Amino acid sequence: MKNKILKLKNISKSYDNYSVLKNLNMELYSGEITCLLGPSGSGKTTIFRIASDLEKADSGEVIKNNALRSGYVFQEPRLLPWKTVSDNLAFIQQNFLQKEEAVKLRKILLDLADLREFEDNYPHELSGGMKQRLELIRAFSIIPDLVFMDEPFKSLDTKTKYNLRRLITVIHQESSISIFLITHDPEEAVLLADKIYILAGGGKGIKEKIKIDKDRQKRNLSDPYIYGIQEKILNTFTGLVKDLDLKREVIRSSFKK
Amino acid sequence: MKNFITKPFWIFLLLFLLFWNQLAAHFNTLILPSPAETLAELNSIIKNGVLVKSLFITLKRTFIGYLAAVITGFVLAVALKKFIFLRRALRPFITIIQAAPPVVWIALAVVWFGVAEDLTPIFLIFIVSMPVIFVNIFQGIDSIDYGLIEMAEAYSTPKYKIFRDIYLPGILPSTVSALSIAFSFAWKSSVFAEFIGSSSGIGYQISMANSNLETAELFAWTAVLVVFMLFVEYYLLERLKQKVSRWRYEK
Repeated sequence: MKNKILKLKNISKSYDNYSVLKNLNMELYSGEITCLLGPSGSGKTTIFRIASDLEKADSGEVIKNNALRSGYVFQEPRLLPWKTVSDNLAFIQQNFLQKEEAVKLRKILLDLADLREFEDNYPHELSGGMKQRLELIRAFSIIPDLVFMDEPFKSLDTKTKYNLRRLITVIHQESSISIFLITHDPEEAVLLADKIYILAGGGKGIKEKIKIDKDRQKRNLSDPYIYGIQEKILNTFTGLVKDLDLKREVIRSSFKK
Repeated sequence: MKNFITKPFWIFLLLFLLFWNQLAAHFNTLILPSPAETLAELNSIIKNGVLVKSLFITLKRTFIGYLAAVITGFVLAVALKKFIFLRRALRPFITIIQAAPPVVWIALAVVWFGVAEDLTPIFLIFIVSMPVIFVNIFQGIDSIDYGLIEMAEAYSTPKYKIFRDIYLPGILPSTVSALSIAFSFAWKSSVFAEFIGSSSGIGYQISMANSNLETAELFAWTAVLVVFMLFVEYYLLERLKQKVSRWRYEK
């Protein structure tokens, strides 16, 4: 039986009277990758910010152990421009680890992320993908219990995305660090998550919760089981597709010459 | 200095000197001394020791007034950013100080501190350059990326480290430009204050040369002022800027 590492209980949040979240409930279990999936504007980032203590909810509770150590991967890499690659990691590691331990882990992570030869470079000398990899390994560089990731693959090309996904998979597998991954992309969700929460949007809360029982290493998009789940997720994104079918006749007649 | 002293500059300077020389031939030396006469005068103030003595006095005053302005401007900018009440109470005063013409300040300083004192030039330097420092740093604080502070706080970084490693480097670019702009203000106001309200320093020497109709000497002092300003701006401050720009990110 896995332990609960974080629980969101009846969370509500509104901005300027516009309700973004209403009585939202969610649980994260240790050692799992939990994925929060939803269209843009559905309150994903708000949940990320509330769960990670960056913002307060209007009501409800975030229940977690006070000693919980968290890492963060922000949508846009938040790196100190005046510190080198290596010092960006060290700056955060200082808060949690002994120097010797920090140096050792830093070297290993820089190697994994293929950034070892750039350790003395400044962030503006790195490509977008490299910066995102640095942002990612920084989150793991403090030996956290849980890593929050807010759309870590956004604005990355397919190849970089693939490599980053593999990096996360392998680090997760060998460290069993829990991950809370926020994404809008069903493909990422089905390839990475143990559990997927699908957000309805418009303050309607969690629409569906899906559990995936398959070894992450053996997952691929053409596997019938994974494909089925992806279809299931896509089917929850109703609205547009349904209406579109009803409008075929209108479209056809409008474009007649 | 390599950014500044380039071939086109030397060529233009040479043309300028030739032109000046030609023009000076047509005028009385009281109206327009030639480059050679200016150089001779420069040589004589170097030899009789007046140059070194006056330069030292003016430098000392500039340094004290400028340093006081930098510290006060910096502290005020940080304090007014941090405390909303102070901001509401004091922010308009900075603009008021800036709005008053320097002549008013020098007139007041002469009344308050007298003519022979160091205090008159120092006061003017302070009052003219402090708002420049303040405004630049005040705006510089706004340009700090709040996301970085949020990130550091999320990773439980202590407050003093956030100040030292995020706030300070974050305002460094605007601080360097503030230092540079304020220095040219300080240097000019110190000479101006000495011209009107002091009995020593370069400004005083200029005022003496002026009233004795020693136009060549006036030119010589001007050359000293300009060369020194160029040295500070393109040698000292340029080095500082290059250091800053090593990590400076594309905006």
